[in-house]
Amino acid sequence: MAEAQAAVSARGGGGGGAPAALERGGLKADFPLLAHFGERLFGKKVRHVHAVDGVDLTVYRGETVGLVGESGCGKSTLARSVLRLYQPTAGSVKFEGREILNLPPAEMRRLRKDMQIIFQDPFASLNPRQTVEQIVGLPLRIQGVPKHEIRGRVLELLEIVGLPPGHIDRFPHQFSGGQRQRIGIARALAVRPKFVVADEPVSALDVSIQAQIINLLERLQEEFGLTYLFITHDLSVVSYVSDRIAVMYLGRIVEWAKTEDLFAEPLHPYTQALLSAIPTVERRGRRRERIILQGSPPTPIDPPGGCRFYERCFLKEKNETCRLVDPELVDLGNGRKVACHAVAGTL
Amino acid sequence: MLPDTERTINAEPILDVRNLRTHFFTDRGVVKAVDGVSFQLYPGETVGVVGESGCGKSMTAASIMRLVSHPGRIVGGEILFMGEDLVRKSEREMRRLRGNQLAMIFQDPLTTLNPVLKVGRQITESIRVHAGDDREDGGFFGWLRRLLDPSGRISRKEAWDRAVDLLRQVGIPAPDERMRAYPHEMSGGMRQRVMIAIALACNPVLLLADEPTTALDVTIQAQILELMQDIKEKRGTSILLITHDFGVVSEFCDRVIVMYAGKIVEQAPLDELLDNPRHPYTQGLLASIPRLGDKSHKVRPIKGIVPELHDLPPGCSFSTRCPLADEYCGRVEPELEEIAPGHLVACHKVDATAAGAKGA
Repeated sequence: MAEAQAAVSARGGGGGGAPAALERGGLKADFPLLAHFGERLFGKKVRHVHAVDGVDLTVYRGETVGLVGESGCGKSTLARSVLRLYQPTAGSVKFEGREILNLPPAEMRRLRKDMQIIFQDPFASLNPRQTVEQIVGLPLRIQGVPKHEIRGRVLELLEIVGLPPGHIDRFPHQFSGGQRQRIGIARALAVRPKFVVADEPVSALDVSIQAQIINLLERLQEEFGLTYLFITHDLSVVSYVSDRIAVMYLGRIVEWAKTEDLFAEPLHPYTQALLSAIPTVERRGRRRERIILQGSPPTPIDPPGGCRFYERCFLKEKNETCRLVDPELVDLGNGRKVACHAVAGTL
Repeated sequence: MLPDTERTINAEPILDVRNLRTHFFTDRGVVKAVDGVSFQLYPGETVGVVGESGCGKSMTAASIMRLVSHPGRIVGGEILFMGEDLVRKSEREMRRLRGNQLAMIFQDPLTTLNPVLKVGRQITESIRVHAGDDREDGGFFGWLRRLLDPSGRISRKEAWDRAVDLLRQVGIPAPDERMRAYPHEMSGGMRQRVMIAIALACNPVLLLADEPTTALDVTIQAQILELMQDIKEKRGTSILLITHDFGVVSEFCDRVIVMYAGKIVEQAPLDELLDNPRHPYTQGLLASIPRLGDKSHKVRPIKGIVPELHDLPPGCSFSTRCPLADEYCGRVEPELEEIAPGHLVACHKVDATAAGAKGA
């Protein structure tokens, strides 16, 4: 396995000297909005949705990085651009030290063996007309595993994810939500990946089933030495599985921290509000301490200049600088990074 | 069967559901979505109904609103709302109640609001249909009676002003402008506020909220919960909150009902339920929630999957997943019994569950 360049791990901070599995530089993913005929006729400028706008993300081998944020913050787009399921507009993505954004298709396909994804919706992400064998066997077929070996490998995978081998010829509709998610996991694991993006893998499941899947993902990580990028809006889940967490707001990472640090002392006002907004069993009766944010996030179509959280920020210190100057993600040491003028003392 | 709280002595329940049974007659068999559910809701109280998908919590609410659609049907029981049995009401009488004394908000405001009507029209319509005039019967004679005797009718202008006021109360900025917006022009949180405004239009005595914040982001969920708390305190509305989220319940409810496979398995005041859960299912649910920011607390999932409702195991429905179940549990169905004031549990092994009660 190729070692990543030292430069990479030095920049990330949190992981000490561990080699980085994945690193990306100032990534941007923009989507053009389709203009009306009239607008095109008069040559109006095409507007863009800046789903991901200048994000740096480093994931070290064997760790789990949690990516949290509310809907529309760009977390799924970010994850998909990492896997090159979307082609980012600018920036770079390195996997084990190797730039992947300009890889030719054939090489990219070979690399996909190492990078897999688990999707949120176990209903929409499985082909209803294929059997479990076909679904889980597809990545194997693509990677050139001989036909006669596939069934055996699929049976093995079913056992790994805790599905009865007898169900190999069943169709997705014959399974419950949790079981379908297990099929999705088996498919992702089929090609023995090193890096797995889990995009809201438990959000569509009932709590008791959620816990089953979380435990399964943890066990698989230990068994196969997987590296996870775990995307979710559920902070309880992310705090449970992640070593480090990145908080996203409107296409940007606003805070980076080790999980314990983030929950012990959230620094960015958005993180503070997010954490205090979650209703939990442990915090009952302490409702009034909650920070209630006003309004909802602005649209990522041509977002405001300055701090993107400015409109909803509740800090007394906020001033003109915040409105006009876009805060940098400042490294506070010990793996902590925050993009806030008030915290970084650049007001 | 009645919980023995002080409330039963000095207040009549506003809602008294007795042995409610709502079944669906499908090709695959009879699905007992709600199977012998009994509970009471007292004035000003907020009761949470918790359970996983398919446990019958939403169908319980739909039955109370009499909104169960084919092939489902209420096959037995009583729903006493302010002393009157809703099960026996005609559709016309129900229509008069819904939106007046009885209101409901749903999970997804995008599918419950009419996409081709401006929200102002939808709110004023609700106000004009329900408020003041209960002779809403259609047809020529209804029209004639309203024409001959316009008293109690609300003018368009009046309804508009009331709607604007309602939008302001639910915290919508620039309500005048928002009245002219279509639902798709609003964010999810905004739309849910509009739904709440419509539900509150006629000052309901009882509000049924079916997963009102599930489709929303956490910061928006916090806003909506804050709003509902406000409504509860200011108007004294009784609320039945249907949710799968124990977090929401623990911040919002006075009492909790836990449902599993169409039945109530445990019911208790909030603190009692969280500190001393006694049904193995409740214990399992609480143990499977990860704690915020605490990795040392390992989640313990409930084994197995929720059984199909048309093919329930004999005896206790939870017996196939229960760590304590024995042969007796698989044969005889447990009754809901009161083990402490207001704390009801349906489990044969209730004496053995005290040890595992340290759920939360």
